[in-house]
Amino acid sequence: MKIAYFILLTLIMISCNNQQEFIPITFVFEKPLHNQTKYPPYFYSIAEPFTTKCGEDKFDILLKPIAVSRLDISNKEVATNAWYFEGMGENTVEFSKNWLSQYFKDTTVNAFLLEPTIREASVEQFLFKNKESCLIYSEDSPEPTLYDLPVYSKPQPLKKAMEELICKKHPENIYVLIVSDTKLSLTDTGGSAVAGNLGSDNPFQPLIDHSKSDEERLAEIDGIITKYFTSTATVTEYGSNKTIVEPAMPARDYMNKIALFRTLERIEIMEAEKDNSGKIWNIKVIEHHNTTN
Amino acid sequence: MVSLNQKHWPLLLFFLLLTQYFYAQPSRSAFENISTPCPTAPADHQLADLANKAQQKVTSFFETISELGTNEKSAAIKAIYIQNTTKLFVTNGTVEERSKYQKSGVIRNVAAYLASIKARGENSRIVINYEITDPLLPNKLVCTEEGDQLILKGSITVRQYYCKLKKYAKPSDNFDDEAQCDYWDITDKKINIEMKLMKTVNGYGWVVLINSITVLKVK
Repeated sequence: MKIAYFILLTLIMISCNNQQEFIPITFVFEKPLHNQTKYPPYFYSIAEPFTTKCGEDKFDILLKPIAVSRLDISNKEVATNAWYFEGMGENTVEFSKNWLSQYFKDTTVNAFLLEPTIREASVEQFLFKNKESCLIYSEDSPEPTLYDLPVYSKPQPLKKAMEELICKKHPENIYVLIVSDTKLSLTDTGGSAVAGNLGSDNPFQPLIDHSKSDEERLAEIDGIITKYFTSTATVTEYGSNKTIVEPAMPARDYMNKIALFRTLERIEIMEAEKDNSGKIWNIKVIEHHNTTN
Repeated sequence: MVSLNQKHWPLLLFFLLLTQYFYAQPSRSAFENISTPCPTAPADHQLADLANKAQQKVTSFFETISELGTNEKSAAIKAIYIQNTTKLFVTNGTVEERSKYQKSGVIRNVAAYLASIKARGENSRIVINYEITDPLLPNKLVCTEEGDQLILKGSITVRQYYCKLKKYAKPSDNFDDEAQCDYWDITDKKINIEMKLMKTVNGYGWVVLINSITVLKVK
C-alpha cells in the first residue's frame, strides 16, 4: 500500500513536468582556445537547460548532446561527454543544470579545442550553410554583426535569441559559432607571424637531418641564427597537449640541444613571432621523438 | 499492512524530496584531480605532457653518458653534451654511483659525474645501456610548497647496464657479453624529478628538471 502511494505520488510529480525537447548543440570555433585548461564560463551559460514557452505550451529544452567543432582543422564534430550523467536520473531541467554546471566547472577542456590550426577557417562558408540554425558569440568582437547575423557578446541575449530560434524554426541542431576579433592568433603580437608546420622553411630542419654528422649539424647553428632569429630570440617548447614544458630557452641553447638529439624526428612550429625586421624573437615548438628507441 | 493516513503525507513528501535532492547532486569525486593535492595543480593533459618531458630528459641524460663512455665523439662535441646535460638538472643536481663491490655509493655533482664518465671512456671504452623500468606516473606526483614555490615531485626508475670493455675488445662486441668486459654491473637507479611553476614570457609554465639520481640496487 505504502509503495503504491509512493509510485502514485512520483507519477503525479512526473506528469506535472513540461514537455521535453532534446536539441543537439555544437560549439564551433575558428581558432584554438589559448591558455585554457577549463572550459570558458560561456560554455555552461549557453548550454544550460532552460524552460521556454512557445505559444501556449511550455517546453523544457535540454541541449544535448554537446559537441565541439573546429573550422580551422576539419568539418568534423567531436562529441563531449558533458551529458555523461543522463542515465543517472530523470533529466529534468534542475537535475541537468546541477550536473552540467559541475561538469563545465571541473572538467579540463577537450584537447581537440587546443590543437594548432591546420588551415584557414572559412567562417563565411560555414555561415552560408548553417545560417538558419547558427548564433554567433564573441566576447571581444568590435563588430555588432557578422555576415548580417548579430554577434552576441553576453550569453544571456544569446539565450533569448536561441529561445526564439527554437520556437520559430524548430532547428534539428543549434550551432554556436565562437569568434574572436583577432583572426589569427599570431597577428596580435605586434609583428608578423607564421603558424603551422613550415615544412622546408622550418629553421630547425638542418639540425635534425641525421644524414649529417654532429659537427655538420652544429656548424649550421650560426647561419640559422643570422638568417631567422634575433640575437635574443627564445624558444618555448610545448608538449603534445599544448602545455609549456620548456619555457623561454635561448635559441642558441635550444639548437645546441636538438642538434645532438638522436631520437628527435620532427619539430612542429606552433607559432613564430617576428619583429619589424622580419626576424623571429620567440618561437613555439612541439618536438616529435621516436620513442621506440 | 501499515495504513497511510493524512498525517503521514507531509513526512512521505519530505523523504521523497530529500531523496531526489541527494540523487540530483553530482559526485564531486568524479572530477577531483587525484594526481596532486596542489592548490593550482596542472590538469591531467598537462601532467601527461610534463611526465613525457621528464622521461625525455632522463633519456637525454642516458644518451649522453652512453656517448661519453664510448669515446667516439670529438672533444668539442663531448663538451656540448656535458653542457647540455648539466642543464637538465637543478642547480645543485647530483648523481650517485656505486660499483657492485662497494657498500655505499659516491655522490658527485652532475658536471663532476659527467667529467668522470668522459675520463673513464677516454681511458677504456665503456658501454652503457639502459631501460626505463618504472616510468613517471602523473598520479604519483607529490605536490609540495617550498616558500612561495610550488613543486611537484616524482621519480623514474631506470635499469642501467654498464660494461667497461676489455682493452682489445672489438668495436662490435656486445656489451651483454660479460666475457668482453673488464667490469660490468646492472644498477637500478632512481631519478628524482622536480617540476616548478615559473613565470615566463609566455605566462606561467612548469619547468621540469632532474633533482638527483640515486642508486637503488647494484648487481
